[in-house]
Amino acid sequence: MIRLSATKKLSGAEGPFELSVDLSFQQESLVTLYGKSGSGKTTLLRILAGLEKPDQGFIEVHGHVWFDSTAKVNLPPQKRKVGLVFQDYALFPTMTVMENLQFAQEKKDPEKISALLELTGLAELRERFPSRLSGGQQQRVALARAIIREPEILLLDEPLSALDQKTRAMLQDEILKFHKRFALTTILVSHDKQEVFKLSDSVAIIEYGKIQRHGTPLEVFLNRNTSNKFSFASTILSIRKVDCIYLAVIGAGNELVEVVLSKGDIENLHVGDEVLVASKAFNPIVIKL
Amino acid sequence: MNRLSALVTGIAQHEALYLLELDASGVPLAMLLFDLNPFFRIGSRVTVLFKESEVALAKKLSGEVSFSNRFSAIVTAITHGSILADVTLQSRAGEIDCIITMQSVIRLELKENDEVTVLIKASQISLEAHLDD
Repeated sequence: MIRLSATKKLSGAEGPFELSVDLSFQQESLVTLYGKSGSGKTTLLRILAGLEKPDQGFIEVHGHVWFDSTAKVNLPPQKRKVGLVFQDYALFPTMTVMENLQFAQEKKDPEKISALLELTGLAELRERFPSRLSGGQQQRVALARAIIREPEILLLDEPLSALDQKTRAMLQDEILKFHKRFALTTILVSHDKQEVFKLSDSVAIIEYGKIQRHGTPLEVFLNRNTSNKFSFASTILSIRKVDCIYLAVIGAGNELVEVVLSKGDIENLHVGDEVLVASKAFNPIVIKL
Repeated sequence: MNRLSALVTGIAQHEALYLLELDASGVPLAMLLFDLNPFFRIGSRVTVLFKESEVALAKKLSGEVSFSNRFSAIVTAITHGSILADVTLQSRAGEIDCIITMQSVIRLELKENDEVTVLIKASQISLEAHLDD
């Protein structure tokens, strides 16, 4: 269990406001902080990592108190087991991929580095310098570097927002894979609803420093619960009439899917709308490739 | 998509598979789902969802059919296409639209004010619960 309660005065673009957050979530879950820029999401990650001190608060991670303003407990960043990944990779430019990982590892264990390089598909790039890697590759190194520290919490601050759609979808799959494989507890900052639906166990919406809602992506974004098995959030890209039905093109990651809509549907569905596409477990046809 | 308001009246379970019985303004309905969400329990007010293309219609139906959902309705409008038709129906459970082939419209000699039997498989119905309720 992770319990985080923090208040801190912040100065925003529209004047000062107070970050005041009370959040708890299960170990090994993936929680997303969703909200506009300047709402306090990054500050919250920095508070967890020990890079910023809340005015008042309490942080407990898996039974260990990291911060308690009343008892004057404040573990320094290096004593908090967190892995951090930012949008801008922040790799050491004068170190190779392997050296970046070695530098981050607390107890030196070359075998573990080799295994992680293999797992992340970075083995062939181990001698490269960051300047000779693509954005997606650099972010994969940053992710590996965060994981090698065996963090109790992995903090991802909009890690994929600088990447193109295809690379982003691929790295989303990898984040999910590592999150499960290493039984990580992960906090992700994102403002991409598709990403939130794909990755999160729960999502907390932050506005002006306050958590407005916290729940599963379906509960939070749709305020309702469906019985459907498969679902993803997406955007309607086009709608065209065919005979007396309508065909909508909907983006699903890199794929485009066509779905049938009725005349009743198109009364309140329009191009550009964000929608939930859902199907029952009974419907899909499964064919061996 | 068709949306009808209903109450959950019964829940049968075998492992992860559930059969829910529902009451939509006096019309009994049944639907199948896996892993029952805690929001769906006896007495819950839910919205029943099903696609227009999953609805079958019959006229002067006699004998038994395997469709779990079978109730009568009146045709209030038909939009004719060249391959498909959109048939609007009024039932006790509410208004329903149904997309069937024009071949079927012709074979059934379907026209406004006809009384028909609506048929929907239990596997084709989804549920939605509103959290604010």
